[in-house]
Amino acid sequence: MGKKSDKKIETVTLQLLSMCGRNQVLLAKAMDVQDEFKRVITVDGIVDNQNHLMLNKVLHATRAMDTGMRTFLELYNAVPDSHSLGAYLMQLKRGKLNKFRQLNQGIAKRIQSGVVDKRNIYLHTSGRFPTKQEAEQLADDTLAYLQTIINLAESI
Amino acid sequence: MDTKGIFANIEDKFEHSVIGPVNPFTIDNPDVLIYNTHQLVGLYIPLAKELENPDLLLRRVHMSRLALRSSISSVLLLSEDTPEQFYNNDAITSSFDRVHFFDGDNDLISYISDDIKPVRRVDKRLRGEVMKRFWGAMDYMDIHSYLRNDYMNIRCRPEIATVASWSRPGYMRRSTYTSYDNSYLITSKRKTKQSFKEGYEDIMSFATMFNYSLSDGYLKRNPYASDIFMYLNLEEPDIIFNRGINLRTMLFLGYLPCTVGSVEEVKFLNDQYYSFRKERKYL
Repeated sequence: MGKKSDKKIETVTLQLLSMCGRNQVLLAKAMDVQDEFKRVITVDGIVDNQNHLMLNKVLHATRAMDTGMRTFLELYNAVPDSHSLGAYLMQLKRGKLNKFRQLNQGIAKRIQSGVVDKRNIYLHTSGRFPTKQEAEQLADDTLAYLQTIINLAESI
Repeated sequence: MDTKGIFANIEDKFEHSVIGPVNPFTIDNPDVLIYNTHQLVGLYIPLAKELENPDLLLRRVHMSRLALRSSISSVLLLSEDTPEQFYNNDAITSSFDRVHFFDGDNDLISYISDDIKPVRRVDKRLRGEVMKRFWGAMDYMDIHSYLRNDYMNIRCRPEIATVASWSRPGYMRRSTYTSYDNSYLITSKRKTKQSFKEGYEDIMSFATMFNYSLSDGYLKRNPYASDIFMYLNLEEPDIIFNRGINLRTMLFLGYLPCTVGSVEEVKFLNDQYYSFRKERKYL
């Protein structure tokens, strides 16, 4: 991951930020999403142990995804009661008339298995660590998923 | 125009901007994305090759629109040296929300600070379709791993395919690397090791114009395109794996990367691919 990844993070998160308009609370959240995604890269220079490094990448990428999805739903007053990626996915699958389109079921299932389930495995089970390939794939895919979600917007 | 100076000035004057943005799906992007507190603005400055072949610029603006959020205002920035036939071309001017001639840094900053409303939005059905196709193909590859097959050359002799140019009405484009056979669109193995951008520029433009046509600045899906199975008959798997963005761009354009040895294999793959997408609710 290098300069191109940095630009990809900025490209995706600037779009989220631009949707927040003058809402300072949501603007700050969009900035947090950018900072969190950037930690997936900067952690390379901080953590030496390979297992811990990859675990950190999964942690930062999924935290960024979590706040990114929540910010999107907050923009449309569609945040579910439960604070979880799974609940956000359910809400996105439902859509909101004239606000944002429904997330396709196939894509939602892919996000569930590729991000939510993997996060649950690695962040909630002692002794389990993602491989380098798994962690980097997940980090790259989370950005593409967030872009897919941003693209659902019809208004704003 | 001093583009480096323009970029530095934009970065200096706007708190939120990205010079050289990169989207997760295609290599087509604006030159700069700027949030001016009213709108998100995508600024496009034509490259020399785009001035020569405007289809490349049209592909860039429409594919980046398809890949990015719907309400981005697209601004085309031209210099006084821009050839007249370029800015008098309706297909070009109607593809942007605004066209502006560079008249100094201060003028440009003032211009892009305006509330430029995005008018040329992409049809929401097209946006939905392209995402389903992209993620469906990613899912399929994860499970069937067709990229890992041994490379074999296709044995049939396909026809050279042609598509209608977007910028030159009545002119047909052809691709050196893309051919058509029995309702399959095939991209062949390249003979030389060109860089990704150079080698695939031709294929990307062809595939874009195969999928879509342009009508008064709006993208329309070509009805025949969805019935044709598109696949890449590429180099050895290792080369493909080392080019992530290459792969994603081609998936975004509808190609399924795989290497097959006979027409029967292509037919089998076609059937399996569509059944898979249907089962997984990507259709």
